Amino acid sequence: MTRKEFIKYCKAIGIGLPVFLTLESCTDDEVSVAAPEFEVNFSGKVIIIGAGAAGLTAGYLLQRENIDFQILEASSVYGGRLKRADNFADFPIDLGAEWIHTEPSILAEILTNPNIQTDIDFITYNPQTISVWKNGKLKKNNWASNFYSEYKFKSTTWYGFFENYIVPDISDKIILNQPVTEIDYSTDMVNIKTNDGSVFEADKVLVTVPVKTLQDEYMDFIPSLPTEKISAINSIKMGDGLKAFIEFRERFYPDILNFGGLLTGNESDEKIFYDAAFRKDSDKNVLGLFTIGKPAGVYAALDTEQQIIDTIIGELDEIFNGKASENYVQHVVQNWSKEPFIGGSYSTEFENSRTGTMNTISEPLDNKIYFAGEALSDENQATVHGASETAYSTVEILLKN
Amino acid sequence: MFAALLTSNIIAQTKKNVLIDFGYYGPYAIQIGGKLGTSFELTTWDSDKRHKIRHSLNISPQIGYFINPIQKELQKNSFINSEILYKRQKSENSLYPTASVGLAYMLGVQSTGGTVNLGTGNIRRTTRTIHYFVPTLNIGFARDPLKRVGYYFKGFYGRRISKQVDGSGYFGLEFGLKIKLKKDHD
Repeated sequence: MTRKEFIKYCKAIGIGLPVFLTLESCTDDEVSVAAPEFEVNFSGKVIIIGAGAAGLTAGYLLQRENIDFQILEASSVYGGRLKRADNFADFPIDLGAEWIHTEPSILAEILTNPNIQTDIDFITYNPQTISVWKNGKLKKNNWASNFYSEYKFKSTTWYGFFENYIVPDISDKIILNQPVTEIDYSTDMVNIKTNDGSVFEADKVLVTVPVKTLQDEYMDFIPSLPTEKISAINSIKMGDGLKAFIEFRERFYPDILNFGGLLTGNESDEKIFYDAAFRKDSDKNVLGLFTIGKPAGVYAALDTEQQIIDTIIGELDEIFNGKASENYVQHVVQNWSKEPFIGGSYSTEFENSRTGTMNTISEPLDNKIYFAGEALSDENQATVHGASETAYSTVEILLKN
Repeated sequence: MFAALLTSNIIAQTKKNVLIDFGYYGPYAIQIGGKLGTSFELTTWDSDKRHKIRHSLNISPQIGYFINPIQKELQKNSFINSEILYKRQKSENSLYPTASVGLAYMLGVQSTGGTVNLGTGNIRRTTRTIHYFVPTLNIGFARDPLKRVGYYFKGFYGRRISKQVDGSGYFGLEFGLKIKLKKDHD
C-alpha cells in the first residue's frame, strides 16, 4: 500500500473476506506484457519538448515506429525530475523520483520490449521501524509497517533505468540546453524557437514540460492557448519540493520518521526522513529527507544549501539529542523548487475535477500540439510510470491523426 | 501432577462435547485471516446461589493465518496460540463476557524484494521468515451453542516480540461461530 493509499484506506476501513493461502519461501508473479500496436497514419516530424520521463518515453515509442523526431531539453541533462547522485554513497541515490509506486512489473510495461531479457533487482520498501515526532516527543509506531509498502530499485535508480533502457535508442535525438521560448502553430508547420535563437520546424509538437513551467508561461504559444486550457493548467497545484541525503557515521534514526501523526498528512504537504539505505547493499548510514508542499517551502526558501543543511541538522539534533551533529559526514541537497525549468515537486491538487482538468489540458490543439506528463495521468498522476503512461496514450493519438 | 490432571480433564471433556471456534481474524482491523480453536474447562465455580452465576477458567488452543489484503505478497503469517479464558455465565445459553490472556508463537513470511524481468514483467520475490512471540489481552463476549451453533466476538491487544525485528503493537478484532460437535449424553 502506498502512502497515498494508506491515508485514503485508513479513512475508509472495511473488512474483507478471509483468504487462506499457503506459505511459500519465494513466489513468482507471471505477467503478460506485449508491445502496443499503434495505428500509424502519420509520417511527418515531431518535436518533443522536455526530456523527462514522458518525453523520453514518447521518443522511445516514436523511434520504434520509425517516426522522425527530436527532443528539445532546456537543461544540460536529460531526465527532468529523474536525477541521480552517483558518488555520494556506495549505492546510487535518486535525487528525484525514487519509489516505484506500483508493482515492479510496470518497468516491463514501460519498455514493452519482450526482447529485453534482463532481470533487475528491486526491494520491497516496507519500513519496519516507524516513528512519529509530535509535540516535541518521539513516539514509535512500528505497527504501521503492516499498512505501508512500496518498491524501490535495489542497485539502480529511476534515472538509471531510463539511462540504460530508454535513452540508448534515442540519445542522438536529444538536444540539450535548448529552452523553448515560443511555439508558433498558426501555420501548417509548427515553428519552435529556443532561447539561443535556434528555430526548429515540425508537423507536430508534444509538450511534456512540468505543469509549473506552463503556469509560468516560459513558452509563448502563437496563437495563445485557449482560455479553458490556461485555466485548467493554472488550477493544478505543484508545490515546493526538496530532497536531501545526509551520511552519518552511526545510525541513530528509524527506518522512517513522520511528523505530526501518521494519519494527519495529506498528498500535498509531506515531510519524512527515511533510511535511504534500507535493504540496499550498503555499509553506509544515509538518511534521506523527502518533502513537498508547505514543509518543503520552509527549506526551499532558504538562500543557500548550507542554510538548508544547517536547518535539517538542527531539527535532527532536537529529535535525536544532538546525534546528527555528532555523526555528520557529508550531504547532498536537491532543491527542486529552485531547479530551472522544473520549479517544484509534482502535481498534487486540482481545484476542479481532476479528470476534467486533465482532459482539457490533454486535448490536442489543431492536431498539432499535444500534451503529456505526470500531471495528466488520470490513474497514476505524480508518478514516473504515470508520466510514461501519458506518453503511450498521447503518442497513440498523435500517430492516429 | 498439574499436567496429568489437566490432560485427564481434557480427555474427559472430549468424550462429552467438543466446542470448535472458527471465524474471521483481523489484526490491525484491515488484515484478514482465519482462526480455528477449541476450549476446555480447567475449573468452574458458582457464585450468587440465587441467580446461579457460573464462573469458569478455560484453556483455548488455536491456530490461525492472516495476510495483508492489499498486498498479499507483503506478509503472510501463521500462528499457534493458547489462551487462558475466564467466562462468567448467568445461564448455559446466555450471552456472557469473556476475558483472556494469550501467548502465541507466530511465523511471519515477509517479502523483502526480488527481481523483475524487463522483457516479460515476471517477478520473482524473495522473502524472509520472522519468528515472533505475541502475548495478548483479549476482551469480548460470546454465546455458547444451545444446540449446535453459538458465536463469539472479541478484541485483542498485545505486542509482537522478536529477536529479528523491533517489537510492535498488535491489536485487532475477531469474530466467528462456536460449533458443538457432539451432543450431550447426559
